Amino acid sequence: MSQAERYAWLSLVAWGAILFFLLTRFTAGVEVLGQSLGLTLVEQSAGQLLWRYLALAVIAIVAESLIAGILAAQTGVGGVEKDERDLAIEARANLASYWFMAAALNVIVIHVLANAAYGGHALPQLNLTSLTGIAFALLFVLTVAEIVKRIATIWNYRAA
Amino acid sequence: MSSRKGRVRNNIRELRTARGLSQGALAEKVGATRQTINAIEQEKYAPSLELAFRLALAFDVGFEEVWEFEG
Repeated sequence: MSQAERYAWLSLVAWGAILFFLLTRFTAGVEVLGQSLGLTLVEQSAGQLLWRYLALAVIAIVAESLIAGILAAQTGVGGVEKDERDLAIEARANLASYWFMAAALNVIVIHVLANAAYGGHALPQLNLTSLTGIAFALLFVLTVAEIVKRIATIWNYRAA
Repeated sequence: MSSRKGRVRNNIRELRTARGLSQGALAEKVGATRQTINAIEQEKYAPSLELAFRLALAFDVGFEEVWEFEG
């Protein structure tokens, strides 16, 4: 397994944990590992939302730095860390992540507009028009896009 | 409509083993990772033109002796 592939696996685990953290801070419903998460959005003040966002950003930066640091310490001197195949796979994974983000944002826009126009009778009742709803939807898309990128990276390493 | 997709084949494994080179040693010679050399040998990955030339140079043979295209 190449360094870049190992990074993708560790990073996938880290982003999975970040998604779990995000869900436990914004949603409620069922108990998982002593934390509540589910389909009910927990409304929060703007100040709380800002702290949640900062906490997520700090956790993501620390996790990525730790993984990069551990893998860099393991790399022998003189070895090639990334070559053209790694870069090609990274580009494909970035593209998959971009398409996921574009699709997800379109779904959110349609959901919000359709809810406003038709009262949301035929749509799932997740209120994305509140401040908490908007913050959650955007952070959820960003987090899942990172997970999609890692999965696409691992998938491409297995395929090519 | 006919498909224009072909297949790039190579003799890298044969050339490498004939010279007693490991995948790692060849990778270091051409500036790639061992995993990439393995993927090229298994024909799972078609390298860039530059890496393809580097590989031919590493074996000190002509391009056609390493690569062939099945259209």
